[in-house]
Parts: sequence; structure tokens; C-alpha cells
Amino acid sequence: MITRTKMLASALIAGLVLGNATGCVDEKKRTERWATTENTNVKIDWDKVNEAYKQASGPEDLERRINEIYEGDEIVSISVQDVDAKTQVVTGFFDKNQDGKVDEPEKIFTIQRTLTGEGEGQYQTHGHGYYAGYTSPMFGIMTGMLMGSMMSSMFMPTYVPVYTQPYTTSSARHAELRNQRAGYRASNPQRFAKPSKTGRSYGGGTPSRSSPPRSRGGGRFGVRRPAGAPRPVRLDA
Amino acid sequence: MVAPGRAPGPIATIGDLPFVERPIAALLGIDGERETIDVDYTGYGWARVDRIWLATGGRLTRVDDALVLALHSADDGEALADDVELEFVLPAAGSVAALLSSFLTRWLPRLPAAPAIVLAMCNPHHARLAAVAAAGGRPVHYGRGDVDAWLDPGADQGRDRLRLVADAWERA
Repeated sequence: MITRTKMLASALIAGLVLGNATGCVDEKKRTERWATTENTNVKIDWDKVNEAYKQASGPEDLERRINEIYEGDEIVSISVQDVDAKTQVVTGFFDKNQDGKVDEPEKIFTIQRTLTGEGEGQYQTHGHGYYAGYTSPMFGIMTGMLMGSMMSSMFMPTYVPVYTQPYTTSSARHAELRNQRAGYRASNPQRFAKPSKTGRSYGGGTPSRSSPPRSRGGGRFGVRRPAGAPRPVRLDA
Repeated sequence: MVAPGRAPGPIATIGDLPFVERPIAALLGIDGERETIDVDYTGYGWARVDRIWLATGGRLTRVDDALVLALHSADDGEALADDVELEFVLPAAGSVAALLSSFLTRWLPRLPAAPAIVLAMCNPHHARLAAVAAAGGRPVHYGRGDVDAWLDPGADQGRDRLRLVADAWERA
């Protein structure tokens, strides 16, 4: 049971941990948060990728977030696999052959999340291929931090790995992601109106009022009672 | 968040709970502009919807013409293999608990007879629910793990998509 105060304190502590982690990154390994691909010259904002994973409610939500971050034409597919009870690996890749599988040359990044102790974990992102120069700091996470259910679920006492059989973006999902992203780009012309280095244009112009905005979060259907608060009386009839 | 529509009074039985119909957006807490989940949300009640989507692992299951019951499990509730301890934050103050099975037995007969029932309810202990007699053979969809509500504007062939996300979805 976590109070708001405890959550805030945890978040502040986590922020300090994160700050330390950032400060401890080997300068030789540190790369710019922006990287570009040789094929597309498209940048990826790694800070946003790392935050997207932290806030995602599940693989589908992560797919949406990643594809909104990515500024190129390709759709970024996602693979999520629970390697064991403590480790989850998320792979972003261009599924060029549309086989729904991660082939090594298709990899863009991997994020490894590890449960390190009771209520504590960490995750780190590595770039692959043309993004191979990127390695994120090791991000510390702990119970009480604000995060999406994709990450917070591992702190539940009854947590069981769901993705022992990997989840992978299906080719059928690509069309939905493409439409979703087109709407997002149309509603953010200030970001996407500029042509890319390849001369491609990613939307722009007058934003359409019918363009779908970002998904809106709602409620979580559990009650978190402050520590020490008495348990309620149970009605039996 | 408190369920409106009924003056608070003594809650002596499950039938006394102010479990009322609410607009679906308010019921699921998606009537704001949040980009994240409200983990402190405690609203409850019911609504009937044309369509709602149940999501897990990127897979979406569509449920048409559903009665949606928004309920809250108690995070520190008793771990039961086939039931869930619910908690209702009361309008005046405090809260009461009830078992899901008892609640459904008491309340389902009072609610509209939609072809399908969807429980927007966390199931922290991954209980496997038995068939609910009061459902009269209608499927009762329930999640395992945390259940979060999302609204995806325009994502369902141009219409807004109501999405409930859980670790897994089951039918009782």
C-alpha cells in the first residue's frame, strides 16, 4: 500500500538515482540522445523512447508511442519477451520481410528490464545497426514511481511473466499503426511539417480537427489504501 | 471520485451501495485529458456501451453491446482463488468491502440485461472466477492483474475506442 506521499518520495529518490546513473555513464560510451540512420537519416529521440517504455500500459501502447516518436516512414515493430521471471527484453525493429519475427539486421534497439530486488528494478536501452552507438544510462525504477502497467506489473506480489511466448507486432497491425501515426503527425505540424533530410515530408499544413489526438488515460480499478488505514468492514449480504 | 446520484446513508448491505448508472467516460475516468493512468481513481458504477475493446499483449478483443461494471478490488484484499474482494469508497466517508460473487448475485438482477458483461476491475491475485449464476448464461469478461481504462480517439474506424487493458482477459 503506497500513499501519495510515499510515491512522491520514491519518485524523488528515483530521480536522484537516475541522476547518478546518468552521471556515471562512461564518457566513451555516451552518445548523443539523437541518432540518425544511414538508410533514412531519420533521428530517434532516445530520451523519449526510454520514457515511452516506462509509461506504456502494454505492448500495443508502446508500439503507438514508439511510432509517434520515430520520424521516418517505416513502421517500428515491437517484440516483447519475458526471458525469465525477472527479465524482460523489448526489441524495436524494422520488420522488412514482414515475417513477424526479429531478424538480427532488422534490430533498431533493445531494452532490457530486470527485477533486482523487492520493489526495485532497472532498465537499459541499447541501439543496434546504425543506432549501435547508443547506450542509455541504467535507469533505476522502484515501487511507487509513476509508470505504466507494463512496467509496474512486475512489482505486484502475484506477478507472473506474461510474455514467455514473445509478443510481436503483427503485419496486420502495421496498417493500424500507420493510420494512427498519420493522425498524430497531422495534429503536430510544428514537428512534422519540415522535410526530412531525404526530402520526405511527414505531414503538416493545417491541422485537421478530426485528427486523432493521443490516447487518454483513465482509471485503474484497484483501491490503494494509505498505510496504516484500517481495512473496511466487509458486507456479506 | 464518488459515485453520484444517491444521497449517502447507512450502508448496511451490498444492496445499499450507491451503485448507479454513469456516463461511460466518467465511469472509466477517461473524461479528462490525462496521458497516463489515474491510479488513485475510485469511481464505480455501471454503463451500457455499444462496444468496448479488451486488450492484452497487443491483442484486442471486441465486445459489443456490453454492460460495463466499474469496480475496484482492494490491493490488500484477501487473496482468493475464485473470488475478488472489492472495496467501495463511500460518498460520505470511509469505505466498505464486499466479495465480487456476493456483489454480482445482489446487483446483476437489478441491472439491464445486456448480452455481455464486462468487469472493469483489477484482479491482483489473478483469481479465476466461476460461472456467475446471476448472469443467466451471459459471458462475464474479467481481467487478471491491473485493469486500466484508455480512450483512443478515432481509433475504431473513426470512432473513439474504449479500451480496457489487463494482463489477460478471461470469461466466466
